[in-house]
Amino acid sequence: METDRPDGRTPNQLRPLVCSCSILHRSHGSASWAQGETKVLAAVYGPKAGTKKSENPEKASIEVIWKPKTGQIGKVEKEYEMILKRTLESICIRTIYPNTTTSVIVQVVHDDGALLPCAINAACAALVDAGIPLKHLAVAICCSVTDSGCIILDPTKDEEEKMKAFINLVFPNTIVSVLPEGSLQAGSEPMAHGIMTSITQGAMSVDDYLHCLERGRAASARLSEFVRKNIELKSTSEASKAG
Amino acid sequence: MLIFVISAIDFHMPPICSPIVRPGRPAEASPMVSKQLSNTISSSRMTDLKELSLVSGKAAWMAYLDIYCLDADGALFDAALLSAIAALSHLQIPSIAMNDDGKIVLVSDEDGQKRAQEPVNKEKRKLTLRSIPFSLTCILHKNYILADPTAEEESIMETHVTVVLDTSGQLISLYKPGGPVLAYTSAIQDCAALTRQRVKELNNFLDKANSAMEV
Repeated sequence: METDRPDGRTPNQLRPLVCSCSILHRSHGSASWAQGETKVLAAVYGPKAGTKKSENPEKASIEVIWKPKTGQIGKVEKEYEMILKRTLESICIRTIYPNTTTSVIVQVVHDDGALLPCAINAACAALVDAGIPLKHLAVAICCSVTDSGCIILDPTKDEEEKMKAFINLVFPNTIVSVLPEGSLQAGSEPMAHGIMTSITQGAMSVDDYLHCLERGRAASARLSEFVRKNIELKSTSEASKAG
Repeated sequence: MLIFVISAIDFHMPPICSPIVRPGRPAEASPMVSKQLSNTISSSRMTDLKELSLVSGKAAWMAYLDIYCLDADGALFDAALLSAIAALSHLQIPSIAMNDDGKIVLVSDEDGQKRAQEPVNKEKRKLTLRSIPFSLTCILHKNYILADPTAEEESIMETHVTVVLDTSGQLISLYKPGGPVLAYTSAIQDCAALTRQRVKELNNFLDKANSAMEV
């Protein structure tokens, strides 16, 4: 029993991913991330000296500015800024550069559904490009639940409007390590299965939520592989240029 | 009509409620709670929006929901959602008539003359609430789950999870905006179980409060 999606994808299939780094010259790090038609451009400046009044100067602080494609910043954009700020704070090692501020500017180029996960992925790629010290990367995915209980990954704007509920999930990147397997476990589950961020919209049962978690984890593994390939390719090509 | 109801929900944090809130620009938490409230109330479909329609295509009720925080001591969203639900359950819609010019006129029970007009709503009535959402905010710290934190606890520990369930057991929202502690499946299930327990308690409390107010 598989539902037909308008663009021909299977329920578990993501839209094609495109990631480009170092596309802006003035910023310390920049990345463009596209999932299908949804596209987000992220730029990172910093660490710059000084901290805002309301921030803690003993740690590096992160400032997120979200620019929509059109119009002014409203409550939706303010919420996105806060979610993005807290997600990035939890992956950065903030004790290395105390009393500094890192600015992350997110510009929405086009919104065709699953905008917040696309922005989180773009911001993480930009932080890597800027050389900000991170514990791990974050991979973001959007799952949605239809009225019949079917779970669909990475919905488009048209699909989002028909869904009963959808969830934006952020997981840590899967870790490739030479250490024994046990060190990557957190209790009985691997670290990549932990939820960093979860934002839901619409009503669903708790079981549906747990099913979305399983689908989201499987998709985040694929996203992790994609991110790793892109970053490795970039550093390899730069090393070959230097040689 | 849905757009009007959503955009009319506002959560205000005046400087009286907390030492960190300054006059002028709104506090940092204020748009977050407003957006979360709008999302929760629209997701739960607590009210039937057709009830608010008076004349199709012409006139409809618009509900303004303004929540003012007087003392901010943690778990602001829980208190805001509970007060919003209590206010909506106490809401009374007055009776309405349309006069010959097509304008909407309030009908007074004592005015016999206006009773000749055709009433749209025949009597003062309350809003029908379907399944009611309730929320519980928890803090995750290593292997511990701390329910209903105070402001001091919230400022020290940074990982908050807010679970919203309604009275029929549906998950309305699971809100975890980042934070250094990762939430695993067992922690999510524990938070959901705690929230289910709290939904029962708050539902009983709300029923008692409403029945006491009816008398």
